[in-house]
Amino acid sequence: MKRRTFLKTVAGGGVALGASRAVPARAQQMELRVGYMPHPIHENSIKWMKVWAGEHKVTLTPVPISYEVYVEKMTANLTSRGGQYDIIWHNDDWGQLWGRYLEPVDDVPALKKMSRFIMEPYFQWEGHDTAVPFVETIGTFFYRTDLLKDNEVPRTWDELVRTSQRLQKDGKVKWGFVGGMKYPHGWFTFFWSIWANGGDLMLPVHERRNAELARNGWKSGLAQPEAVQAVEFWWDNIHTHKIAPPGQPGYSRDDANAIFMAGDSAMTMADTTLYGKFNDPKQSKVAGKISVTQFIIGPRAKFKSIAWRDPWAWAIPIHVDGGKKKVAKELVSWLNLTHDVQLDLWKATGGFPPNEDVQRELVKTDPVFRKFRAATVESEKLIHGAFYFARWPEFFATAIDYLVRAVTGPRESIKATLEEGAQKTGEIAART
Amino acid sequence: MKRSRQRFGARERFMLALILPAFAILVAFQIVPIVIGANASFRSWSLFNPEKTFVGLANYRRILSDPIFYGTVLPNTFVFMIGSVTGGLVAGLVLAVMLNRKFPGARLVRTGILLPLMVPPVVAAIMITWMFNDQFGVVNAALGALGVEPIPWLVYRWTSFAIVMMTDVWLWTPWFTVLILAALQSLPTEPHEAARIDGAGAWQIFRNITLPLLRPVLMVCIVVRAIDAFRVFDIVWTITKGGPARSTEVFSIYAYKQAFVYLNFDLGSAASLLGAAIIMVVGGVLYRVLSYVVEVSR
Amino acid sequence: MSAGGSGVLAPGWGRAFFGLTLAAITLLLIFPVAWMVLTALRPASGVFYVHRGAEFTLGNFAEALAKPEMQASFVNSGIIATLATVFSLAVTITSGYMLSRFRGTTSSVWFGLIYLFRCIPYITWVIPLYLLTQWMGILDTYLGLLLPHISIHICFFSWIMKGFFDGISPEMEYAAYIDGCSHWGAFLRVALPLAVPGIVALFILSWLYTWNEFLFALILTGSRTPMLTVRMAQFVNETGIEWHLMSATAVMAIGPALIVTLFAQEYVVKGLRL
Repeated sequence: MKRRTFLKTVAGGGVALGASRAVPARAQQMELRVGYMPHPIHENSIKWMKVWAGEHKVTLTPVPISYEVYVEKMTANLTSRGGQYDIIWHNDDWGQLWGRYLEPVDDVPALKKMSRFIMEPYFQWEGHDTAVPFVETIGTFFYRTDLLKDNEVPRTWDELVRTSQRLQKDGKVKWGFVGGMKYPHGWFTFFWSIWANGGDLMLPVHERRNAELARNGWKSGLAQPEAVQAVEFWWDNIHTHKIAPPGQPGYSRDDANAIFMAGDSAMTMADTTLYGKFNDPKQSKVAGKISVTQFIIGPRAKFKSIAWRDPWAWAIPIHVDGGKKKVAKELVSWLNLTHDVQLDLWKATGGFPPNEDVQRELVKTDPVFRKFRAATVESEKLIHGAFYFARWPEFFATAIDYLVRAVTGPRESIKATLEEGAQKTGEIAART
Repeated sequence: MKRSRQRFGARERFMLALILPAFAILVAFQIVPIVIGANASFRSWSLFNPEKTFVGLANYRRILSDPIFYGTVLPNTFVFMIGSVTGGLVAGLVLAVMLNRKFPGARLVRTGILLPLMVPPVVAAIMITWMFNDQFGVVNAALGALGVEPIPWLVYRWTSFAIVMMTDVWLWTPWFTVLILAALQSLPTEPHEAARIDGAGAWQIFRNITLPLLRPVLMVCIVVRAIDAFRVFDIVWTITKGGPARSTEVFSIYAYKQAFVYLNFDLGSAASLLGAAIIMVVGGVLYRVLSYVVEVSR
Repeated sequence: MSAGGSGVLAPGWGRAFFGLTLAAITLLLIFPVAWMVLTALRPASGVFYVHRGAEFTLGNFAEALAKPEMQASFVNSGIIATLATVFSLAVTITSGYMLSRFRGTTSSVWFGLIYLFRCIPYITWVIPLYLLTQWMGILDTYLGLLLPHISIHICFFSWIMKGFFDGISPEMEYAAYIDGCSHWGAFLRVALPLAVPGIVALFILSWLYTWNEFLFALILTGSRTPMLTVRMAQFVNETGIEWHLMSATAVMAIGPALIVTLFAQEYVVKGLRL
């Protein structure tokens, strides 16, 4: 009798195990699950999270999610209250998407140490802050120090063309400039040039608040003279001046980075976070021969310098249980208030630490950081690199389609193509 | 085939037993989710907006009236389908016939040609994309060695489209080959022996005896592959993302962009169900046409 | 016993033509994979301009294998591929046989269902499937992956199996019935052995398909059941693709696939000798 019951129990247990529904036994310590994208900067942040977790008797479980599907998976998780994550990575782009599902974080002390610029308007929902930045992501220009002395680095579009042609003619480098152009990497060619020429993707220029954009009738900036001139600039770079590779309209940022790292281009445009990769002798043939400079300004711009400044943040889903929320908030605050954490972020990954006290210190002690900051954050004009209304993803994809179509067609058709693009994108934005 | 109703018991039970487990799994893991998904297509439903108001056929109407859908996406999809299936079929048939002989290293070659299927399609597509990069790709490097100017393959519509189709043919030729080879190996030898004794040539034997016997498998392969080619996603997304400027966009990319890029789950659902309806009709027509062609050619 | 071939080739030109054509097609099929192997052997700085420079290294493989969950994902993918193939073959073969040998309403309905679900693209139901498996509590488990995969295989392979059975004359089964064989007996002992080449082919295709499958693995797993294709996708991040690691992993993934393909022919046949 006993043996039979014992065998039945074993069999039953075996079946249960076989169905792999075993619930982890350890549930005494609080567990915080962090949804993130595999990336050196995230991994750096998580490394420090584990340090804190160890000291505070919390179990930290990082859950990596492929970048390709991060938005869909996380959105599905938030809308279905799936509860798989307690802390999630939140890019500025998704602020309006997720705002209603996130815990307000106004009470997090670390926010006071950061620039308000990197919080508004995307990390705001119904008057509350919804995420805590852990790094600033900024686009910048990289150039080859072995090809260009400090005073030779181009500051304007004309200088870029002349300098590139000179270097190419002397056989020093194959191309003057290379950058990503294909969807979704429009920032590294089209967008920076439109912005650096005094234009913008929507009107009024540099406006990001949805209320204002609505008041202006969701007008697209694609057909403005600044944007048309920018696309003509790229058309000329490829066909007339020949300072950019003909394949560029089909390049993702990987293609462009590969060409730059192989030494075939004098300049490129990329996030500051690429500095580590470009400077790594294991990956890059131009390691040790690069530096950064400010945006190359177009003829119609009325300012001397411009840059975009955006953060990556940690956010807390609103349906997470109250005790965990409190602990999570302490954790993300600690990350930004702790000197060593912020310093390590810069030193190990090249990401800008959001804590402005630390930034000021680094400007004094680290010449590389000083140069980076001067080329970007200290620009005369600062903008955000995206828009934050509901139809942005569709607007953005359509805008790039028209830009690519314009640059791969005849030069005379650029204006007409962009006019059609402006109309279409304006319609899309208005459907918000 | 006897359809004897008296023997309802044993025969019918056997028949049902053959399919019951499959049926149960299918219901749970395909029917239920598809019904839920289909429900989405009749509502106004964005992934970030919790309302799901019923809107009837509005989503379908929007898609059918989208000039990109009927002017670019559908034609692209059909061209791709026809090109890819034809290429794979011809190459697969030739290869299968060749591999059906005994020669030294046959087993190695038969395994070797399966290499395209041993790599995840997306990774293979990335490899091919970089092979065709105009600056660092091996194709332009080889062309350069022959004195040809580098070609920007992925900037123009038709070169991009050609690369995507070629990748698909590359990926699926082994699939055709394996199945046709298996079919060849199952064929009865008597008709072939008889014909050889009668003095028929190799091509005549192939055309009049082998090909008709291969018919059931060939037809299934063609229709199955046609359906899958219509729904192609991974390699097009990896190589061109439907670009440049949507010129190589196919129907599954259209639906995916709606659902997962623009987060219009309703439009994405409607688009994919529309495509499903189209392919169902096309598949059925294809099957009929093939059967007719085969009958006529007898 | 090559029924489709014509025996011995004419010596000289015939054989040369045969060899050259076969070599050409085989090389075209193998080249991208070979190029990828070459890429994986180059250091990270040489994975793009692969033809430039001659440094080689095995470091990528070591680095990829050391990544978190990489080895676990190899194991999981292997187990899922094998289990899914074995189970789905069981249901697919019977399903295909049924479609081939039986006509009538049930058969048509079954065929219709399979056809219908063959035609509906994944994205219609992949999110509902996610929600369903989450509700059933099998999300991120072996079962949660196996069952959807088997349902896909049913749709993929029943139809092809039908084609194979259609090509086998039912005469032998009738003879068996007359001899007093039961339905199952006729199926198992007469029809099945004749369909062995088809079954082996399906085994290989089915295994390779699941080994390389990405979408389900992505949506239906989380941290507890790492799968190889998903792990590979994690080499794509916001600043670019770690191509040296991705290609190294893909090359290593060929290993198990090659072994299964090479030996499936023998072992599947042996296994079917009931």
